[in-house]
Amino acid sequence: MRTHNRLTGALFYLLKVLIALAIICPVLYAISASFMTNADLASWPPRFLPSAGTTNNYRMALRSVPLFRFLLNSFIVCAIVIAAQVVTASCTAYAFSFFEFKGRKILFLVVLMTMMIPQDATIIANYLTISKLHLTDTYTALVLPYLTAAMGIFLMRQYYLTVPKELKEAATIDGCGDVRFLVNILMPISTPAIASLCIYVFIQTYNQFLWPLLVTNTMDKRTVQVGMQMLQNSEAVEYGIVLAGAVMILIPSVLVFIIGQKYLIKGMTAGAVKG
Amino acid sequence: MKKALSIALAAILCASLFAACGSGSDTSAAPSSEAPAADSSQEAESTAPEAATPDSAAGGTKLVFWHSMGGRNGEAIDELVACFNESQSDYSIETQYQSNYDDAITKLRSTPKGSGPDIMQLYDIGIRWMIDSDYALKVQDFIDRDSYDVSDIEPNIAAYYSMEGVLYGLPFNSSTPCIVYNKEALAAAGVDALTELTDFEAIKTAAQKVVDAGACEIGVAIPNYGWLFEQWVSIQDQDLVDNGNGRSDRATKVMFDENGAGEKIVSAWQDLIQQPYAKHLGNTDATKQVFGQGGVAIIMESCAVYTAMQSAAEGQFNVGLAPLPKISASDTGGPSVGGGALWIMDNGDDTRANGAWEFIKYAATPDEQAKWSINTGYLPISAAATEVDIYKTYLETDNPDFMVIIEALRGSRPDRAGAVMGVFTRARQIVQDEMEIAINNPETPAKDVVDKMAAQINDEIEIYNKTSV
Repeated sequence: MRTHNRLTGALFYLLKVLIALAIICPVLYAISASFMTNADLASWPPRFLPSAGTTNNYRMALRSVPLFRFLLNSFIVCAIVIAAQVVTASCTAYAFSFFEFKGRKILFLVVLMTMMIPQDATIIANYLTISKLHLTDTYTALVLPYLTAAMGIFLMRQYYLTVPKELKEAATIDGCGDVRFLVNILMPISTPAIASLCIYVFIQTYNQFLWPLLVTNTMDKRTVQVGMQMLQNSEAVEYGIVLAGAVMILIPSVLVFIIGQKYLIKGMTAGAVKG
Repeated sequence: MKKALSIALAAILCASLFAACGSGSDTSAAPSSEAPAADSSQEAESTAPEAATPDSAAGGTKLVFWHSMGGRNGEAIDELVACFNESQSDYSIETQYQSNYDDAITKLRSTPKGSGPDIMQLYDIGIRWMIDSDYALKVQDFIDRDSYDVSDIEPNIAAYYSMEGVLYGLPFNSSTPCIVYNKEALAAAGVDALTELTDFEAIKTAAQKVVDAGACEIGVAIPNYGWLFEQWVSIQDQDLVDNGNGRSDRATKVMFDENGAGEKIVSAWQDLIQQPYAKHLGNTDATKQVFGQGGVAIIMESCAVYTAMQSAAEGQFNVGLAPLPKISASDTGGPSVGGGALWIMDNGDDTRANGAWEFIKYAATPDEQAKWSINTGYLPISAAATEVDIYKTYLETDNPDFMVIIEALRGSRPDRAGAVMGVFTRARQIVQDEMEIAINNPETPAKDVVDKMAAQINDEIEIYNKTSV
């Protein structure tokens, strides 16, 4: 019985490794291909490793677009959006989970409904508003529509619902007001939820393409995903250069995910199971 | 552990915030991110301002140029604009890359008229949309006003952007379809590319010889590319759509099903693919890849891929170019051009429109077109470019076959200028999807394939005509 268990355990482990390999394979190939010459990339059967590693693609990518400027812009935008969403989502979720008021359920449903509207349906309308406000090509335009989002509110509310009401009652008896309770007690104990919100928002904002493309025009304000598109040539795509750029902009995402994945999973399941 | 991680995460967030603010303050052009008041002053400079403010200190009226040239071609466009800005002091142009042509159209479409660019680069098949949308000024009006001499512009290229004698956009980056071949393989098989690849029958003989000589595993491969289908309709001297190929009025339906041109292409293609020396390799990228490693001797592509192919083949073989084959030897038409044109956008401001006109004239000069063609692999739109010294050297030493293509284009006919319709992107996709099925099932009757294409494209045209003003 025990050996049987161990065998299935090993089999499942092997299966997991295989699935993980299948998933990571394209990324590994992208990294390898970013060091290949054009001749390597065109060879048949395809090579998995460069014949002689070249950093030429990286140099070309950095020469043709100001990638570091784009990275900086992406970080600025991500930082503002994350900070804003943490504040707005925490406050809104607090109201939805700790206050009793008329229409609370309906209001919450309305908030959730905004999640059902695909972004493609609103993006052009948002762009028209931004250009009417003469905000094109500013950081303000890049962040404005994303300062709050139903996903964040939902995530925080689900987490707050798991916090026992007694905690709030005890705090109130001790003379603690709502703001102080939220900032000093509730937010510290919801670190996992906040962390997962941060990571989720980071990845979403970092990967935006169409919105930054629409509202920005100059190199000074463009973000990394638009920069990636600039590496492509309409007649003949040079994959080595594009992949070199992709590898470079992948690093921050991967770092953020490695640092925060524990919290991301924890936060998601906490909300999902107990909500 | 949990706490340590969360602190680390918070620290990173804070650090990135500080980093953002720090660098914002040392570049004067990028004020703090949350200060819209400060930003708006910069915005007025960088995007289209409300009213042009001639500012001699900063190099004259600022103009905005939207283009879709990424990678190496984007560098070439920046170089061209830098030369223009240096050549005069009345205008200063800023290039703004707006992703590929389709994304650029999306953005232009949702930008309120008057706050978009002053100059816009757009691909050939966007012409109908551009005219229908009324965003642009006619280049012809400027030509007439200044009695500008257009005789230097290759007539076959200009023809695509003209409707009933009125030139709408000035051609800029042009390419034409051609045969791309492996020089060594054809030489080993004793095939002369210029005389023995003229039509589909000749291609079959040549491909057979190549395989017999053992020079290449595959003799010929045609990438599944809707553009080639359009070209072969034009080569048969037939119209793709009605209303004079969409030139006298908006197209209301396709013609290639009724006039038989489509059927001939599909059956010739299916016939070729069933031969042992031919193989279907997929789309253009897949076909180019196999060609680059010497697996196939003859492919069909845009002439603009020459530089990329030459670099992929480096050390293995040399790349040659020859005109696109006819479907049957008796065809009397010719290929039309692809690529893009420059448009003068209507922003209700004469100074800026004149600046745009000055720039597109500059971009069309023989010297600039020669440089542009060398840097990008596009055909020069100026006939005199081939007389420019650097270009002569380029044609002699680097790319001798390019002249063959230029001459093939000159030999085409302006009245075979290619079709115009509002739903070209979609139509091309439909052709490719149906062609893929037809190639993989060569026994499918060509008539059925063409009918299916026609029915779907007609639906798209109908929707476009009903919904577009």
